[in-house]
Amino acid sequence: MTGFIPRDSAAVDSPPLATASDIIHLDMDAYFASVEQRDMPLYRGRPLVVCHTDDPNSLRGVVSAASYEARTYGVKAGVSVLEAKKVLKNAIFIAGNYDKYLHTTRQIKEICRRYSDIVEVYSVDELFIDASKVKHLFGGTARVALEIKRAIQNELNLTASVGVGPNKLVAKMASEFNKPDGFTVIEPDDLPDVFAPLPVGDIVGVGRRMKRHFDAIGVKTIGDLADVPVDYLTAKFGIVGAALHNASLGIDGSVVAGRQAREIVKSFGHTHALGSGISDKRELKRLLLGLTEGVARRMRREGYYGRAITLRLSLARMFSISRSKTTAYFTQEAKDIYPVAVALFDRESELVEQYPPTLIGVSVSRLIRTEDGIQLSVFDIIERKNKELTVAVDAIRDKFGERAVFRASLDTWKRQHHTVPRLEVAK
Amino acid sequence: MNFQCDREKLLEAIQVCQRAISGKSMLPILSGILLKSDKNVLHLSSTDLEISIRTTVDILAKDGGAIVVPARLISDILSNLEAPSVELTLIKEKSQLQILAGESKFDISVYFEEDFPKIPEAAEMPACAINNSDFSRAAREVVKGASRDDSKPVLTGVLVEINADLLRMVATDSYRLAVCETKITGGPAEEIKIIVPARSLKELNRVISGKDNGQVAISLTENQVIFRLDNVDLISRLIDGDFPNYKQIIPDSYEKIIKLNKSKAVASIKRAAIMAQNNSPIKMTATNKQVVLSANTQDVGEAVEKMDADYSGEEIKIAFNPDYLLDGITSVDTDEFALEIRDPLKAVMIKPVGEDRFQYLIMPVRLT
Repeated sequence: MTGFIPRDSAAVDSPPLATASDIIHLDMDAYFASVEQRDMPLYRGRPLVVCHTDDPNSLRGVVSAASYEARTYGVKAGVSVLEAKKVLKNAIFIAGNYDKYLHTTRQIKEICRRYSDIVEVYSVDELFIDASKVKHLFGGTARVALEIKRAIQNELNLTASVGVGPNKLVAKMASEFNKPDGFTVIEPDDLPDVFAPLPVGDIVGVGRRMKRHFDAIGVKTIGDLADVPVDYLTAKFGIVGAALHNASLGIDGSVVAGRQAREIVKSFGHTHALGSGISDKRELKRLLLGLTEGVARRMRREGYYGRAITLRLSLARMFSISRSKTTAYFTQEAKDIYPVAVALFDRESELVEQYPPTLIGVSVSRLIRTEDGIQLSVFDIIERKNKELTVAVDAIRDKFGERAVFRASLDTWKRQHHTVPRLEVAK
Repeated sequence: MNFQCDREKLLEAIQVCQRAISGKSMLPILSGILLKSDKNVLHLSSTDLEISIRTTVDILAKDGGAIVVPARLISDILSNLEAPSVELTLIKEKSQLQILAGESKFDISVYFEEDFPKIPEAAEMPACAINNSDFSRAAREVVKGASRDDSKPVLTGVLVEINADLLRMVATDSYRLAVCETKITGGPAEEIKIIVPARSLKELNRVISGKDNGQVAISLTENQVIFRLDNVDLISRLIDGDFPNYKQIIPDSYEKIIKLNKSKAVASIKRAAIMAQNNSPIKMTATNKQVVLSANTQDVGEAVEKMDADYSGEEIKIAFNPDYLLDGITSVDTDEFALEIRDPLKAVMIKPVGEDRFQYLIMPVRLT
C-alpha cells in the first residue's frame, strides 16, 4: 500500500527505517525573523519585519524577512517597506544583521556535517544533505533528517522545515508541505501521485512569465504539466523544457554539491555600495581594508589561496574601472592583499578626486586550493606570530560570529554605515 | 666630432652599452648611447636610470665632441657593414652623425649630450676586488633565488655583504633562499651591506661572460654601486630597505641527509615535473638507499621516478615545487649534492657535497 503520507514532527518519532529517499532539504522557517526573535525576547509573538535598508525608520528598501505573525497580514520578503508599514501599524521594523545570519547558517551547516560530509548550502536559509553514504549508521535517511532537525532546535533554538526525497527537487518540494516546523518524507513510489495535484507554480524555476504561459494552455497542476508532450515543452522553452517535463514526474539528476564536488571557484570578491559617492580617501581605504579582510577570511574558510588582486571602482555612477595586479605569492591573508589593493587605488587617485566612487570592491583570483599543497614560505619562520594571530582571530569568529573581533580602524565605519558588504562568488 | 676606428671593436662596445638600455623607457634619449671622443679614446655610456654602463674604445680622433646616438640603429648599421674600419663625423648644422665605411654612407639623426643624464664616477678606492669567474659563478647561483615580484622590492635584490676576507651574496623570494660565499683578500675592515637589484647582477654577468681572467672591482657611492672590469663600468642603483634576517632562517642542524647524483636527479625531476601541472607539487619519498619521486595532476595523469640514494634512516615524505627544486640542484656544481631535511614542513637545505661555499634553502609544499 503506497500513497503519500505527510508526516508531521509529532508523528515521526520512529520514522521508517528504510526509505529509498536519500536527499534531505532543510528550509529554515522565517529565518532572519526567527533568529532575531530568538535573540530578543521583546520580538517574540509579535509581527517582526526584517528590512533590507540602511535605516529601519525610513520607508525605503524592501522586506527581507517577516515573522509568521507578520505573514498573516500578507507581508513577506520582497514587499516594499512602505507597503508593509501601511498594513502593519504595530509591527517592529528592524534592519537585518546579515553577518549574524551568515554565521548562524554556518552553524547549521556544521550540525549537518556531523551526519554527512555532503552538505550543500543552497541559500542562506536552505541546505541540502546527501545521506546515501551514511544512512546505515543512523538507521535511515529519515532518522538522519530528524536528528538534524532536533539538533538545530536544541542547539540553535530555531525551527526548520525538513523534506526528504529521492532527489533534490522532490526533497525541496517536500519541505514546503508542512511549514513551519514540518517534516515530510516522499518515497519514490509515491511519485508522481504526490506531485500531480500541486499547482504548477510550485516547481522550482517556474516563474510568473512561465506560469502565464501555462495558464494560457490550461496547465494548472503539475499533473497537467506531466501530460504535456515533452516535444512541445522543448520547442517552447529549449533545454528547460526537458527539465520541466522531468520535474513534473519528480525526476531530477542534480547532485548535492558538497565539499568533494569540485565546483570551480574562480574568484572571491566583496563590494560595498557607497550611496551617492565618497571621495575621502582615508575612508575609502578603510572600507577597502574591511572588504579585504572579508575576502581573505572567506578564502581561508573555503580553503583557497590566490595571487591576482583586483580593485573595482564605480565612479560617480558614470563608469566603472577595474585594476588588477598579479603577485608572485599565493596568499589568503589580508596583510598581503591589502597593500596591493591600496597601491592599485593610489594609482587612480586623480579619478577618485574627480568622480567620487559610488561602489568599491576587491577580489582575488588565480586561485589554488589548500588541498593541492601549499608552498611554505621562509617568512613562516620569521612571521609565525602573524599567522598565529590570524588563526586565533578566525577561531574567535567561528565561535562568536564575524563581529566578535575586528580591526579598531574599522570600528567607526561599521557604526556609520550600518550595512555589510555584499558577498560575491564568481563561478 | 670626427674619428676613425675599428668597426668590430666599436660594435662590441656598443653592444655592451645596450645591456643598460631598456626598450620600455619613456624618455627617447635613454634609448641612445652617449659618445664622447677625447684625444684618442671614445667614451660610451648608456643608462636606464637603474643600471648605467660606461666603456671605452681606442680611436683615431681628428676632432673631439659629444653626441647621443640611437643604440639600436648604430648597432644594426655596424653589424651589417663589412668594412674593417669606419669613420664617424658629426654634421652639426643638420644634427646628424655620418658613418662612412667602404662604399657605404649613413646619415643618422642624433640627440645632444646636454639632455643625457649624468652618470656617477667610480670612487677612487674600490671596496674590494674579486676574480671575474668567482664573482660570476656566485652571482649566477644566487640570482635565481631573487623575487621577480616588485610588490616586495627588497626581495628583488641580492644582499651583498663584504668584509675583510669574504664576499657573501644572499637572495630570497620567500620560498627559497640562496647563499653563496666567496673568499676574497683585501676587503674592507668594516663590513659593507648593500642590496643590489638582481637584474643588475644578471646584466653584469653577461658583460663578464667570456672574460674569465681579470677582476671585478666593487666601489660604492652614496646610493649606487660601481662594478669595474677592465674597461667597462657597470653602475647600479641600490635598493633601499632592510633585507630579511636570513640567518634566522637557516637551521643549525639537520637530522636526515640524502645524498644524490646531480645529473640523475635533475633528469628524474624534469621527467616527473611533466606531470606536475597547475602548480602541483612533486612528491619525494626517501627510504633505505632509494628515493621515489612522484607527481600527479587531476585529469592529466601521474608519473613515478625511482633513483638510488645514499640514505639510511626512517622514511621521509616531503613535497616541493619542481621549479624551485631544479633551480637549487642545477646551481650546485659538484657531481653529488646533499638534501638536508629536518621535517617535511621545515626548510630543506641543498648543498654541494664536501663544500660549504653554496647553500640553497627551499621551503617544502605542505600537503593537506
